[in-house]
Amino acid sequence: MPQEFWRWKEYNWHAPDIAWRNAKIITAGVDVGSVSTQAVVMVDGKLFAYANRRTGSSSPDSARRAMDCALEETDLALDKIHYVVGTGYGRVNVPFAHKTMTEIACHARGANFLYGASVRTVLDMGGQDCKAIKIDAQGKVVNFLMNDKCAAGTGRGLEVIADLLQVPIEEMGELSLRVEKEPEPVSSTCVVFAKSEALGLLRKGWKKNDVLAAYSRAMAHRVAALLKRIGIEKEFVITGGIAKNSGIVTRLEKELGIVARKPDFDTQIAGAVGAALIAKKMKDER
Amino acid sequence: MKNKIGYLCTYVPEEIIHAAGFLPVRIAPSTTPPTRADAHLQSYTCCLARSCLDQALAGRLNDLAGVVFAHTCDTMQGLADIWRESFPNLFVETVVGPVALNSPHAQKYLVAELRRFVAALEQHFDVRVTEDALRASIRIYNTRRRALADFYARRAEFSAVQWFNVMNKALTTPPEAISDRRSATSNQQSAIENQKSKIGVVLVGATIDEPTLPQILDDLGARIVADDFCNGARYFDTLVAEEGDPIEAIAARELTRATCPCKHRALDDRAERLLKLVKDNRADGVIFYHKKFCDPHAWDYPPLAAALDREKIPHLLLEVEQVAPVGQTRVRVEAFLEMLSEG
Amino acid sequence: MSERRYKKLKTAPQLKKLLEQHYLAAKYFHLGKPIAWVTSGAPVEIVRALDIFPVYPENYGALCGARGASAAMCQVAEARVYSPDLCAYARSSVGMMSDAKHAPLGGLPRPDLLITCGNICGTVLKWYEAAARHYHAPLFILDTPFIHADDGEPTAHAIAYVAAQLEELIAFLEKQTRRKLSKEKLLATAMLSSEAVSLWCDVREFCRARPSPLNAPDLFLNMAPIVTLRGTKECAQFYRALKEEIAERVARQVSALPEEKYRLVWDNIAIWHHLYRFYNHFVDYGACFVTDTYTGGWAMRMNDQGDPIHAFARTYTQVFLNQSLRVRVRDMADLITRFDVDGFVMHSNRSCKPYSVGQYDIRRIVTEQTGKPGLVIEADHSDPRSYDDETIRARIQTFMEGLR
Repeated sequence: MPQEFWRWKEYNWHAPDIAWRNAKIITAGVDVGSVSTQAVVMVDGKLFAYANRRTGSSSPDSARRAMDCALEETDLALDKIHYVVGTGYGRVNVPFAHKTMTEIACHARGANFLYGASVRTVLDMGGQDCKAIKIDAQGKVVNFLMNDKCAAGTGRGLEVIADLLQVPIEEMGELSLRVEKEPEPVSSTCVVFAKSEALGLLRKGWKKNDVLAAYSRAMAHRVAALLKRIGIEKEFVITGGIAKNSGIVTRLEKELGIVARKPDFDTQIAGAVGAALIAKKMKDER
Repeated sequence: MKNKIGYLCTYVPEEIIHAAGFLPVRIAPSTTPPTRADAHLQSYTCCLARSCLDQALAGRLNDLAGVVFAHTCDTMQGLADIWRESFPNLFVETVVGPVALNSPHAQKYLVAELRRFVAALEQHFDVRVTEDALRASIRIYNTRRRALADFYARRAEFSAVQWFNVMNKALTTPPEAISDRRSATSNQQSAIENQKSKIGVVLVGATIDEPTLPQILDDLGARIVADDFCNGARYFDTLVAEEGDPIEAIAARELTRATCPCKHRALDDRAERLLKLVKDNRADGVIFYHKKFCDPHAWDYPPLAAALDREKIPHLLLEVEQVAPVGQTRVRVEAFLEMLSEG
Repeated sequence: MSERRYKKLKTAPQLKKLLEQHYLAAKYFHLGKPIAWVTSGAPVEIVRALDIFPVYPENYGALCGARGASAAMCQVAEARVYSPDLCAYARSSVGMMSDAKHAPLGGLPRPDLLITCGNICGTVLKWYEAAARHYHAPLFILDTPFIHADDGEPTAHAIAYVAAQLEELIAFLEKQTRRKLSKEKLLATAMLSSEAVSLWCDVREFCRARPSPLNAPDLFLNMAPIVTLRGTKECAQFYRALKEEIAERVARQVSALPEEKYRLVWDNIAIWHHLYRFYNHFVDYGACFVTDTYTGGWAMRMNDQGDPIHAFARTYTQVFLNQSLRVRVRDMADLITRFDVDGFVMHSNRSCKPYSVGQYDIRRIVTEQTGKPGLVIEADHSDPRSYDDETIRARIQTFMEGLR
């Protein structure tokens, strides 16, 4: 079977020693994105379990599958969860959600939980769009800007290039940094033109890594422009799948002159974590 | 005989057209993507220009006896001449009003330009525009303005979509038919609820021509407490004086009514007006609703945003093409409203 | 950066020096003269007659474009939430206002006064409003009503309006400078202006010769003093020297191009950021742009009869960008005939709506009237991010092959 270069690993995780039966509040957040779906379960505000799976053609099915996957190796069942918040592109299609919140509010809250109260600027580079969010010490949104009109800073854009260059998506970042000299960025990050431009470069004899570097540079530049419009304040963090792409992150940091706090968790779960926390707040208020 | 004359901008003096015996109707962009307009207008012009021209080229405006432009932005300036080329037998005129509204000579100039326009109408259609007819038209349009102001005073009783439909219809129906506004279905109870619980936003932009945003606001339970649209509040802003020379009175209104970014009265007048709208209506935030490639509004955005920032009033910018994309618009508006309710 | 592939001018160093001096004087040697930012279509003669130092942000925009600094300056403006769809000259200027340190020449000097005239576009009103807010400098708006008439004649009330505003402008400038305008000085400045303009017209007319002594980029570059130094002695001197050089070229039948095979007319502002590279594509085919609609914009003459204010009012209201589509068709057809050209090229300039909106119709009508084919190229005068060399080269190839 031919290798599908755009495919990244799906997985789940659960905390080894949390006794959910004694818990006061159990909540969950489900982030149904255009590319991936995450489900996060929290017990009294602590991470209990989560899963990260590819989004299929049906949002409700994707939501259920992610949830089932998160709970798989635990003995917690869905009906024991007190409150569920759905978020993401497919948020209105999470059949077992009690409420929906936008991924902007959820990424803000999630970044605050995962990185700490000192975070003020969150950059979420997701599957289909890219968002810059300014937050306060409580993880509430103060301002935001979105780019969902083009592929710059999105997973879709990277997948197209990964496929074209026959490079596994998880390796794109590292490979793009292994260049002798940083090339000029491609002139267009528009996925439609980038593909033909990348092909053109290959034909001219460019090595794969250099094409990756040129594309990453152009992407980082577009994302930097978005951040400059909203104003970057320290601490600056990145959520979403592309935070794992060191090629883009490094170039972004260089252009902005600021270093992003590095995560020690999977950045793709930030939205669902935020949703689970917001679910807790809503349950508390009832 | 065709009895309607179309216009694109509300700086066109409707009373004069009405006094000449025609019904002035606003030509608005449709939701159908243009196909013929691309042969005349570049892709970097706004959808208002492209869609309106496209409708004309598709023969959907054949019931108009003429089209009148007002001098506003560079695209409209060029469009007026393009329209003439495409329809050589149509009455196509531009009322070239002053841009420097603060000039002490603007009134005199505009009066002369309006008289020229009157003469052009009289000559082309072989009609007389009498002073009496002008006075009568002014009274009728003032009545409409007052009726719309009343409607606005009660806007809490109406949904955003209802508001949109009323304004949309108003600019294409005879001004005499104002009774609809009073009898439009309203909900007194929801008005009381609305004042208390719902988030209120002020909308700012050029024109709003399709109901996607109003529908989203209704779905999300927010209210439009005020607006600054050409085909919204600015349409009926300020009455025309009913005494004195009617042309002088029409000119005076043009110079004093709420400005759009194509005109200059003072550096801060739009910012002051916006802040007042927010404060008087106790709005929670402002949504800028801009058409892509609309230069004048894009120019005003940074200073207006700065004025709002200084007063810590949250705001959101939506830049739309012909039809606002539902998913993208909704997530932004929803996130904005979430932000407003948390704060 | 590409190099020009057609004959260099002997007066080129003189031009360079003249413009450098202008910028240096603006920054350091204006000797306490108040600095006014003025638009290219403003009646600068009044400004100069009052000993005010005029500076041209549009010219600075072209300079940013030519030096490849436009994208960076525009990005500064975009970070301050100015839309990327706005005119690139204006965005460069706004970027420069916020970040003069990184701007070419360290940016323009602060204005003491701002004078904007709407005869070229609606953008300059908004641009100068932004400058007024930024610098807290007094702003004067000269409102020149657009002429839709087929014959290019302004209405009497428009001229009266502009004339009245010119009196206001004088009063405003007198108040700001605490000086009185001398009518003699104004007339003298106007005469110097007319002289330079007249010489420039002669230079442009020389290109009717076969072969043409100049190619369009020469016209773009040599137009700069007419815009920025009009009304000065140095300006008139320069054009006298230039006219002499061009007269000599014509006498000796010196061609701008190595071999002139085709003659073309150019419409719209130059593509500053790819000036040579772009025009070299045409040089490849032996095609010379013998004339254009842009550099003649400042070829209006004033006579010394009658009231100068009235003359200024007419001259500045009738600037070509303030004229209707039909007048532009007439002027283009006239150039095609008088300069005996084979075709024309129109730059559909994203940054300049008043110049570009209507081009598609103008192209069609001009071809109908003259039988000469026209090509439309989509680009931007200053922002290189809207320029796609591959696509443009292909279109030029198709067009030139059609001319054969």
